[in-house]
Amino acid sequence: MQEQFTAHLAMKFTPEWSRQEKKEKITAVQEVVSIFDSYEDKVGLRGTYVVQGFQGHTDVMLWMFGDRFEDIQDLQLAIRRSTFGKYIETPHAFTGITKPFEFSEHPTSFAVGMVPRRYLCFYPFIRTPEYYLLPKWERKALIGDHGDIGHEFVPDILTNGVYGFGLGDYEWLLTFETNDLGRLVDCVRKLRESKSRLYMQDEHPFIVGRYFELEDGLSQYV
Amino acid sequence: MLIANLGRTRRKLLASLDGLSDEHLNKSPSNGRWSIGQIVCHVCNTEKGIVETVLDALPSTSGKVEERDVSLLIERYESNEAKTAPQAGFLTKAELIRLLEESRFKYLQSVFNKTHESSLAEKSMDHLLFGKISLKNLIDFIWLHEQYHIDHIEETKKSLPK
Repeated sequence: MQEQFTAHLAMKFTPEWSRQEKKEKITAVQEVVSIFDSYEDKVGLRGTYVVQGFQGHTDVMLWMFGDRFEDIQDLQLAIRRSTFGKYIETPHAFTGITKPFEFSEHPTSFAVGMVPRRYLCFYPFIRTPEYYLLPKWERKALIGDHGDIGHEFVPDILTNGVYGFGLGDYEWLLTFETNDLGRLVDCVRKLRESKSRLYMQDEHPFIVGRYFELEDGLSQYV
Repeated sequence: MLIANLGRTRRKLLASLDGLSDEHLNKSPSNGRWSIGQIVCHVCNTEKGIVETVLDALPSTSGKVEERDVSLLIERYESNEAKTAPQAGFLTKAELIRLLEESRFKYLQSVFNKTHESSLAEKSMDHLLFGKISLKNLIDFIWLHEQYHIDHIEETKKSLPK
């Protein structure tokens, strides 16, 4: 499996943003679009997700991926230096890497060429230390059971699991994509019955958002 | 690289459908060739068929075989399997994309939910049409076959009314 870096960048507009003239806000958004255009061959943007109404800590989240972390970081720094960057805070930022899972390849949906869905549900998580000390066969059975539950919701729910070990506070970063929030609720509810939940230590924050193209998504706040 | 190739090819296939109306997708070229919709259905059917073959072969204890040039197998497959047009009927673009997603995320993904790319290269089967072939090469066949039909779609697009 070809490894790629992923970045989920959660942004919140400062109160200063709403005090700016509409014209200046439009120019600032267009500057961000130009930055992404200049990284077109280096950094992919899976989507821009408007979080309004789901969580108060975040306004919009960008989901990026690329072969080199440097490119993703440089792009984010360019945003910070831009006019737009003056008016945002980043309450959360998560970097991950695509790798085969322990018991199967389990590629991300974007890696196998699935188109983005209307909604995203992202959360990072950590398993308990006890989980990693279980015998391999038991971990395999737990993950298999978890996967079987999730498979019931395919293709309504796309899954994207990446490694976060050492790149941040979390071990795993999981993104669901769906066109149907009702199915998402059913899926997450059903996954609560998986025995692997006994070994879940922390799984927050949840960030849920509606998919937009970049300019359209950022313009929702203009 | 297997997954990257599968993803890259699928994105190209989806891009090749951009801007085409449902009528375009279902219009058969006058020379009796397939409509783009039929080509897409054929791509989906092939992906499902190959995946089922691989899933059947996964539990076997077959050994490793030499890597093959899979591109050479496509003509053989096409002349054998593609004699009759897929019975698609009129399908909208949304329905075709749904079929592509089903074959990709419900079928192909199930292979990668069971095993790794490296394990696929370690296993083989005696395929009726291809002979001895590794399971990895069979999955390679999916994206190379899809690539072949992207070219086919581009050709077909030239015959569509403006």
